[in-house]
Amino acid sequence: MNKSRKKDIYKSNNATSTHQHRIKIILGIIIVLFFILILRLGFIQIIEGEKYSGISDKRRIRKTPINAFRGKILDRNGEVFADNRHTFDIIAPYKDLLYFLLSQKGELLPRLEKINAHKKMSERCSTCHEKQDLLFRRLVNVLGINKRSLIKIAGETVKKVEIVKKDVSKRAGKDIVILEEVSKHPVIKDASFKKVAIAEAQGDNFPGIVVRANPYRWYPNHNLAGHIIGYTQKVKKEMWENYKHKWDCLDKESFVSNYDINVEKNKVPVSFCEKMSFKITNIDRLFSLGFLGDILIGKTGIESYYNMILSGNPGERYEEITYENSRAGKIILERPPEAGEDISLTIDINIQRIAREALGDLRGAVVVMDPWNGEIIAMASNPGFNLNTFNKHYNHIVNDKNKPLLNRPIQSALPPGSTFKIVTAVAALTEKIVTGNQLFKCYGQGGGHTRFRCSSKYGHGMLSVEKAIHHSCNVYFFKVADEMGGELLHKWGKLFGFGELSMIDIPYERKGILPKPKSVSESKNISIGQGRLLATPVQVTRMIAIIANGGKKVRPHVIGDINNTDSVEMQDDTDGENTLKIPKSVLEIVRNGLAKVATEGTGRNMKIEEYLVAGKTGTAETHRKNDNHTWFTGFAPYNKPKYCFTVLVEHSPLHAAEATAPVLRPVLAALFPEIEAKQRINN
Amino acid sequence: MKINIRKFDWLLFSIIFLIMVGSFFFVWSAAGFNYALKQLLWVGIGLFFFFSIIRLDYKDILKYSYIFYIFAILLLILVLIVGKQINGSRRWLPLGPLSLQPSEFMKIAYILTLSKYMSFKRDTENFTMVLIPILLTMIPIAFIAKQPDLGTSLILLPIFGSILFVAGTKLRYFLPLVGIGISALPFIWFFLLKSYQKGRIIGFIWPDKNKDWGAGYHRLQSLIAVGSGDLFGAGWRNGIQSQLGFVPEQHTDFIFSVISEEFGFFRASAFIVCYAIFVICGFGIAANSKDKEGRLIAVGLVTMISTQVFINIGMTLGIAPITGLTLPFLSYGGSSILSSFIALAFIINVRLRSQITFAREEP
Repeated sequence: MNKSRKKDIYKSNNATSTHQHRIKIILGIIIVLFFILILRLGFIQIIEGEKYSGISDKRRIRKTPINAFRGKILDRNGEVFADNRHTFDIIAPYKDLLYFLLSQKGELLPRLEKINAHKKMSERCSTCHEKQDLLFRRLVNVLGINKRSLIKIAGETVKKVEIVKKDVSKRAGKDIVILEEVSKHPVIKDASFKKVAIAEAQGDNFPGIVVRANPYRWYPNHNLAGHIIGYTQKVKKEMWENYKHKWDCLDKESFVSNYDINVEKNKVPVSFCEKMSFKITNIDRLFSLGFLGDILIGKTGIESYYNMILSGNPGERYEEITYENSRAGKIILERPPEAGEDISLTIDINIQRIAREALGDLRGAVVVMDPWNGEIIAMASNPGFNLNTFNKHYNHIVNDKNKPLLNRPIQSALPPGSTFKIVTAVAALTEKIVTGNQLFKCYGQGGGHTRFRCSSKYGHGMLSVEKAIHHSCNVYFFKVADEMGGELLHKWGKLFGFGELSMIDIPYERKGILPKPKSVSESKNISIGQGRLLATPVQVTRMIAIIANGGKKVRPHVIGDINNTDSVEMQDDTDGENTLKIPKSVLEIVRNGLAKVATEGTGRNMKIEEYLVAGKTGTAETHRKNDNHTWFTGFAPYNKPKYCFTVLVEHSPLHAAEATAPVLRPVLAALFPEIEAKQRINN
Repeated sequence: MKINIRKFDWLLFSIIFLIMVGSFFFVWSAAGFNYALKQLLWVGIGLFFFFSIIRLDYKDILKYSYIFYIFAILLLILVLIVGKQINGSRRWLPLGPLSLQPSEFMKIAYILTLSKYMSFKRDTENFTMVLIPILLTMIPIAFIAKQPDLGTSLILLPIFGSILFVAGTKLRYFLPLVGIGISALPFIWFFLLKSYQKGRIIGFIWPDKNKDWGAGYHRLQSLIAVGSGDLFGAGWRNGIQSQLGFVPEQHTDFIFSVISEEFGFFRASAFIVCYAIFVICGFGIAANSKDKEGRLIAVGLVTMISTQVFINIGMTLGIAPITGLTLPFLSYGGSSILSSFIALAFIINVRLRSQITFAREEP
């Protein structure tokens, strides 16, 4: 047995040397092929791995935003300034609309020849159009809509998208898939609740067709406080890209984190950001999450300044996309949205309304503020705009000669006129240029001084500071300015907050101009609030508040409190820098002077003495005749100030007292209802 | 003849066992536990066939090879008439709750027949002896291509080549064969191929140009899955691309993309190495076979399996056109598992009855 086997071995070895050789060749070929497989596997997984895994992440997991409710804006008593509402669109994928239209019209767009060719080639697609036709036919039946209008809407959408696509493809020189092509488009706009309910309930029968909520802001008080509230806009990606460089630095934290800058205070260029006094919008983060144009962000006013608090945090939903229908499969992760917080303003809606009505057709502004803490009670700007119809009338509003978009209390920088004399008087008294009893003689309009003259033709005679204030004697203040010099005047103007932002929490504030006088004549001009000096009503109000509260430089603000949390605190600016050291005696003299304005001074005809108003008129001349910017700023009651206020009427032919009295009186009546009532009884 | 259990190739069998374990878990991962259980059932049936076949001498079985061949051809004709149509092609023969793919068994019957014929013919110098094998090859190719199943029909060509090559056919006879094949290409392209098959081939050659054509899409999805795997993979049942079903046919044809994504480069290439060891063992068995029949059977079957492995993994990795070829022992599917086990049974059958064992009994 063993022997024969050995023989066999040798025998077979000899006979099979060729086939063994050939087997080795085949084996070699196969091993080489397998080695190629391993190389290829390594190439894909290690070298090109990142490329492919990037593709897969994008395709498989869809991030959808869940809109958060924007917080309401309320007045100080809880009346609603801004609220949320929704309209609903029923939307369908573009491809479905396209095929539906084709199945209806039976015509081909140029691009669609390709689809048709594809259809012929692939047998699977032969029923495509029928499916869409069936889908929409059922939709028409179930929702009870007009088929013709559906075809019309689909036609418009398809036409619009195809034109864009053609344009883009032509420019690029190749076929490009545009975003609109893969997104969903409305089939029914502004659908009724009934239809929405049906569509939601039968969603499973209509694959791809969903209800989309379009949030919009509703303002129950229309045009009452448009400037304060501001308007919202859907964020556009392009818009964001354009403004990004400006907005980046608005957010100190994101600035630091985005650019990895040393957090040391000195190294972060926050000054600009602080001046802009924007609150951060977390837009960048939203875009990085893939939000596109569905979120409202505030563009102006409170909506913008407190956007982050109001907008809340949109939720995210990560869904797995399965191959079939590209429909969402299971939800991997869902972070629920946090609704925005409601914001209460310090604005009193009644005072605001009365202020708006009092302004009537006049161009101007009314600011009412609490002198002790800077709370803005009312801030009216006329003409205004209706926030609810803002988008509709946008062109009209922008082109209006009266500039309704201008938020006059903070943006209308005009010469403050005689109201600035308060600053001059305080400066002179505190720096001891003059004393309370020192008298100057007013020469009126004569005396060869044609440029620097007084409103009184024959002069006021001998004047003390107090009298000079309530008679608003220019000549007195010219003399004071002459002796004091431009430096000190500028210093005190600055102390009173002129030429700098009041830091009110409404964006786009203007800071006006406080020039450094270079000549005697210029300092004379500034001492009476003329010349290059420009101030906004809010700055003037803050100035009078300093007189009223005895030197505290308050920060005006409209934010009352944010409901449920104390995430934002208004900084209390009562530290040394922001308190002016004005001696009591000086304040006494100035206050007495102001108090007499309403009784025997320039404002004696305004019929406001019952409210114990201490104030100052101001008439800033423009270069045209009978065209003045008229001011009245003051506080009441003068012995125990409760409110301070400023009225500005632009381009008025009248003098300050006559122009501002009809505006101020109803506001005062509303602020002091008990005095108003007493007066009515007396009459 | 008594089976010498010592000759049983434990290495080969344990390699297959490893691959089967992988198959169970990855069919589970790609299609769910129920599929994995069904796969186990098929493995059981496969093992039954396996042990039945190794009990018989392959020479006894070879006596009936022509009958198997004719029977398989009949099945192919039957499937063209009453076959179940899936994805536009008639490949499956419904048998109650199960369905069989006759082309899988055709391959084995063809290998047995061709081996039998080539070992019977002693005179390898004569060119006429090549003509009968060509005929034997062309008939099944035509029927399988008619289904249409281009992949399976074309896999007969390398089997044909390797069997003839090892059988000692003179090399100069291969030249006219290659010539005939090349001159037949235009004919095949214009008359035999369906448009989707052309699309796949074009999609393979210019993948970027033909994304709409389906094949390009499959290829891309498969590449994404493989590419996401990286060195160590996403972990079993954690491959997102596979778990979300983006890769088409991922429990059958594209199962290797699931393995690559979830197991990563090292472990996925270990599978390829397993197949390589299998191939080396298989050819070792062929080289040491006691007679020509056994040698040709082993060469044919190993060539069949290795070609299938190469084309299947190659299409997963984007270097081979997408065909309906399954990955032997790994892909889900009764016919595939059954034919793989029958092939394995014949290879081991040859080994058990070989005169020569390694080293031990040599002087």
